[in-house]
Formats: sequence, C-alpha cells, structure tokens
Amino acid sequence: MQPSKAEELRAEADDLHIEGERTAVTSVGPPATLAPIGSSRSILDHKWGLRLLVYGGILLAWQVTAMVKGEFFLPTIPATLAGIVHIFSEGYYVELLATLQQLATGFLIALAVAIPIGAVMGRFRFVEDLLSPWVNTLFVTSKESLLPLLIIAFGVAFWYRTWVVIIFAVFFPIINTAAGVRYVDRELKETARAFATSPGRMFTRVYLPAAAPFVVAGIRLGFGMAMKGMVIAELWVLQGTGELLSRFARAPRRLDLYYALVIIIVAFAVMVTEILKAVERRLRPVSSTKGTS
Amino acid sequence: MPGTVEVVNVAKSFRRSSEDGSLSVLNGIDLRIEGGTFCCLVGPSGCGKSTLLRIVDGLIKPDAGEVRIDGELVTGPSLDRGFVFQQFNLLPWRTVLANVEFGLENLGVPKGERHERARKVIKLVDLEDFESFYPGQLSGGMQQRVGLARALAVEPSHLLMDEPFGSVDDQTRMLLQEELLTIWEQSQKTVVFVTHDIEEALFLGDQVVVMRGRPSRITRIIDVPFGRPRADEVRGSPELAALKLEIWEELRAGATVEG
Amino acid sequence: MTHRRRAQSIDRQKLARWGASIALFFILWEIVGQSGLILSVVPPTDVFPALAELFRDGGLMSATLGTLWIAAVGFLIGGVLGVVFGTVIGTSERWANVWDPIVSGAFAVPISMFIPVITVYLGLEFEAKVALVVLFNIFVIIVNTATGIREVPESILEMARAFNTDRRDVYRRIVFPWASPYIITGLRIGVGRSVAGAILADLLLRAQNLGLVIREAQGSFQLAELLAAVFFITIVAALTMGLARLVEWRLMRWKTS
Repeated sequence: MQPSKAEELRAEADDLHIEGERTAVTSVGPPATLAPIGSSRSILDHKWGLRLLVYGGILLAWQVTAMVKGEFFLPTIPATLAGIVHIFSEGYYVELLATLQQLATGFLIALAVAIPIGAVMGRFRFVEDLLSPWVNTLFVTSKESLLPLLIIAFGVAFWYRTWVVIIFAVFFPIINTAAGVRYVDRELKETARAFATSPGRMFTRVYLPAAAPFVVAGIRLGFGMAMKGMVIAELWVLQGTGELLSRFARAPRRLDLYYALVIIIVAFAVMVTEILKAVERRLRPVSSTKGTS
Repeated sequence: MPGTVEVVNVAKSFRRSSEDGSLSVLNGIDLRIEGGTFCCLVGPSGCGKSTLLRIVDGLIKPDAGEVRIDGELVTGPSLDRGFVFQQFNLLPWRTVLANVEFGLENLGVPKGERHERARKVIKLVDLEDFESFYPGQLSGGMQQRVGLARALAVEPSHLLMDEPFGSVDDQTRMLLQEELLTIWEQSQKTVVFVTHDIEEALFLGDQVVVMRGRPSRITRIIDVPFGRPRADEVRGSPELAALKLEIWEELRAGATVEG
Repeated sequence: MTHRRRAQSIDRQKLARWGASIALFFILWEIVGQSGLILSVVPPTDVFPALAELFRDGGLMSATLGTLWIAAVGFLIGGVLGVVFGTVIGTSERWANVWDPIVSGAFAVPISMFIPVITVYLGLEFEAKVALVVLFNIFVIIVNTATGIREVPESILEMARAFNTDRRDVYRRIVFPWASPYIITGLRIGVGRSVAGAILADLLLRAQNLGLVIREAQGSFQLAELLAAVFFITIVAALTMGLARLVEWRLMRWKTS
C-alpha cells in the first residue's frame, strides 16, 4: 500500500494502526513549548474542567436559543429528551429496528466478503497488484452516485439498502485487513518459519493474533461507512430511519423528534465505535506499535 | 580576556508529571570559565550537564543562583552564544545554505550578506559542495557540521555544544573532533562542551569539569596539560590514559556511594 | 542514473498492468451488458453514445461545473476554518481536550443525517449545499492539521529559541513548515470529501446540476443515460482527486529523501 493511502486512512480515523504508523489524535499532547510558559495549574487544566465549561455553555446556548426562537427553529432540551421517549412510546422505533436489521445484514455480508479478500490481497502480491487499483479507485469515487443504479436493479425492497451498505462498508475492511496481513508477512512470518511452524499454526498463532487489531480497525471504520451509506440510501428513497428524519424536519415539523432521533443515532454510533476501539486496544500488543516505524 | 562565564550557586529542579514532588538535578553549582577557554563538562547520563549548559545559554532559568557573562546577567537566549544540539535539529525543508542562515535571519542580516557569511562558514566546515542539499540527503556527520556552521555563522563569542558528536559513529566523531579544534584554534571563542566521553573531553578541552551525583555537583576540575595545537598522538598517550583513569575513578566512586 | 531508468521501467510495467485492467473491465462490461444478465447493466457501446448526447443536449458540462463550484467553495471555507481550528487544537492542550471527543465523534457518526435539518436552517440552495460540503470536509482537515502541529518536535522548538527566534515567527518559519505535509494531506483528502459532499448535496438537498442529471435519468428510466452520468461523475471525481494528489506531490518534493 502506498504511504499516501496509509496517511489517508490515518487521517480518516483518529486511532489507527497501519504499517506501524500510529497517529492518535486524542492521546498526543501538543509540544510543551507552544503552550504558555509557566502556566499555572488551574481548574481549567483538569481534563474535565474546561470540557464541562464548554459543553455546559453549548447546552446553555442551545436551551436559550430554543426558548427564544421557538420550537420551529430549535427544540428545548427537555423537549428533545421527551422526544427520545416519544420515539419509543409512539412506535417510531419500529423503523429504527428495521433499519438496524438491514444495517446488520449488509454489514455482516460486507465483512464476510471484505476480510477474506483483504487477507488474500495482503498475502499474495499478484492479487494485490490486480485488485488494488480497483479497490483504491472505487474507494475514493462517489459511491453516492451509484445509488440510482441500485434502485433500478433492486427496486426499493430489502436488497437495495443492503447493497448500499455493502458497497459503502466493504472498503475499509479490505484495505486494513490487507495491511494487517502484509504487516505479518513483513515482520513475523520469517521468524515463525525459522521455528518450523505448520501452516495451520501459522494461521491461528501468527496471522490471526497479529493481524487482528488491523482487522478490527477496518471493521470499526467500515461500520462508520455502513451507517453513512444507510442514511444516504434511506434519505434518497425515503425509507426507514432516513424517512423519519426527513419527515420530522418537514411535514409536519417536529424538531424535537428529529433531534431525539439524531441523539439516538449518535449514541448508537459512538457506542459501537467505542466498543470496537476497546477491542482493538485489547488486541494490540502492549509495546510493539512504535517499533515498526 | 573577555567572554568569562561565571556560574554562581546555580540550582535547578524539575517537576515530575507522574508523581508529586520534584527531581533536584543541580545544586550549588559554582564554576568560572575564563574567556577563550575550551571547557568540557563530563559526567554520567542524566547528571544535569545538559541542563547546566542550557542554563548558561539562557534557555532554562535556574531556580537559584545566576549566570553572568563578562559581568552581565544571562536572562535568556542570545545570538551572542551559538548552540549546537545533539540531534542536529536542522529544518528538513531548507537546504544546507538556508539552514546555516537561520540565525542570521534572526539577526536581520540582509540577504546578500547572509549568503556571503553563510557560505564562508560552510566552507569552514568543508561542506562547500553540499550547499543546496537537504538534510535528508546528508549523513549524520555532515548534518552536524551544518549544525556547527549554523552556530558559527552568527559569529558568537561563545559556543555551547551539547554532546554534539553523540549521534555519529566513532570514526566520524574523531574527524569532527579534529575539525572542531582546527576551527576553534583560529578564533579562540569560549567553548562549553558537554560530553559523556572522557577521552573526548580530554582530547578537546583546556579544562575538564567533572560532575556527578543527584543532585549534581561539580566534584573536580582538571586542567588539561596537553599543548595547543593538539597533536594526534595525544589520543593514545599514557598521560591521557592516566587522566582518563583518574576521572573514571572519580565518576565511579560517585556511582557506588550515591547509588 | 540506473536508478532512474529502473524506476521508469517499473512505471511502464505499472502502466501496462493498469491498461490491461481497464481494458479487461470494459470487455467484461460489454459482455455482461449485451447478455442482459444484470438488469441495470447497459453495455458501453450504448452508454458512450448516451454520454455524448448528455454533453450535447443535456448540459452535462455546465452541470458538472455547477457541482464542482459548490465543492470548491465548500472546500475553501472548510479548508480555512479547518486549518485554523486544527491549529488551535494542535497548539493548546486545553482546547484539544475539549474538542477532541467531538471531532473524534464526528468520524463515527453519519454526517448525512443532518441533511434534513440543514434544509430547515439554510434552505435548499447554495448556502445549504456549501454548508453540507463544509461538514463533510472540515473534520478531516482539522484532524490532520492538529496532528501535524503536534508532531513538531520539542527539540526543534528549543533550537528556534536558542537562536533567538521571535515568538511570532516560530509559527510561520518552523511550526507550519514542519506541519505542512500533514496539512496538505488533510487538504487533499478534503478535496475528495468536498466533491462527494457536493454530489450528495446536489442529489439530496435540491436536485440540481449533476444531481438533476441523475434524477432525471432515473426518473425516465433512461438506463443508458443514467449509467453514462454515473460513469462520468466517477471519472470526474477520480480526476479531481488525482489532480489533488499531483499538487500534493509537487508541493512535497523536498520530502523525497
């Protein structure tokens, strides 16, 4: 994989382990000399000090704006929270579940396809040479514009949304799995061969554990893309959760329900992503990440 | 002779981020370096000699005590003192010429004169043909020569060097040492040279200051008896070996007593 | 010298392989299209005439320019704001602490879910579309800028201090040059995101420009035209991003060593 693609992925994710390059946005502090010299330790320096201040300020601004401009512009915080309850009590959650079901289906299919392809690409140079121009090109093209094609092919039934999810979700797992396998080949395979490791054990004891963090990173990023694809697909044909979002914003305008839905979606996305991040962290060996660069 | 450096009762502690409390690195440091002297600071790693050098330069403020140069208090960095770093610290997007000019830019020297002065110094460190190369294209030894040239270009009265040859291989180091002496002997600046290599300190210096302990103190100052210009034979000479042993004993004693 | 010649022959190999891949793709496409295996696949022999017609009568060129214009404006705004904000985050640990969770979160959530509400606040026209494009590209630019600035080593900053560099100049002469590869990479990715965002905006906010072309083709079941439009958009996006990469490469030549 070209270094620039590695950089691109590093940039797309906040915490990604590829080819030994590690960039963690949240954990590296800025150079100390850039910070004011002799800054005293006030409450603002505590991790949550300024955070609470700023977040609290944002919430306050939200509430005030909502109260001043009315519910057609912005729902108040209590109204939004009530909206979350409404989503469940008034049965809208059914649509959410339907969306979720299709999301899960599409995503799992995508993984079942992408991870093996990525593994083969990482393992066999000629496969990578063959496929990587396609993968890289399709990765960066506008997948959104493929939607109409899918509609014509599948109508707007089950497979339409599932296919959209697959198309969106499949790239990161491919690329990251390939990188993980390539990493093993580069760093560890020779050593394992020197110890006469059987192919079976090579797979389970060497490739699997070593490439696992890469694969999980790919899954995490792919999940983000899957959600993105799903929302776009649903907005385009007005189905499922996307339809709800569209409806609540227009006809009739129920911004309390709209933002409630947004909160639910965000909560879901963040939850899944954090879980996957934690899994990824667990799978990474403690010290090795810095060694390969 | 002008350029005398006086360190008076300097102390420095660093606050440790992981625990409360602080690490006392220097305590009660008194030192007088006569102008025009080549003075080497020697000691084990982490003994604060680099910190002391930075305090002399004005990069770090001491917690107690002061540094005076020719009677004037040092309050901050100045282009009267050229600093050479162990990790070179060159700017990778600038050519050799542009890197050497860095300090001159800070002095506000106009472009034409800058080029001239930079080229002169580049010639001095034997990098004439590499003027438009980038640091990434140079070996470690060459990069450090650029660092040296950069410090010399501002024509400072003092040269402060922090283990400058620590990042290069042995042979390159010996060559750089000789080149440094050649350059120095022409100008007679005051040099403060930090190193953990005892032989290097004895070969280069007029004066070797031994530091050890935690917090560090100056335990011995040795006047180096070899003449100038330093002959190559000094390296293998029995006198040097004897002095080296003396210093080593001094350092080792500190290590066992203070653990 | 031999080094360069070897590089050239490798390039030629790559080019040949690329060419073969593309040729294979078109052949496959033609075969599948003619056979009618998959309903919506129209063979290139029908698609390319449709493409030509779109250019002549369908105003494909102006539609493309329209969408690209939205992308460009969004990129400009997002680029400036992103670099500024990224600099703040990269410099100040306090502010990094505050905004990092939000910026990280922005990567995990589908930004498109805000499309309906953008309509509420900004309407369906130009401002709304540009806003969507900015939402698409700004986070990547912020993250890359912040990372680049944080990567500036302490020792280099110490060197700048030792040589008595004006504090104001440190950013201009040291920090930004050092961070520039990251910033430029971020901007390059931002170009791609901007184009994608603009296409989406023209599709979902109010069908205009390229989005309109697609919608019309879809609505009238003109398969060949639809495929032609999609194919063309893909090429345009690929070209834009290729161009961005080229610019990035040229700017970063000193890094080759």
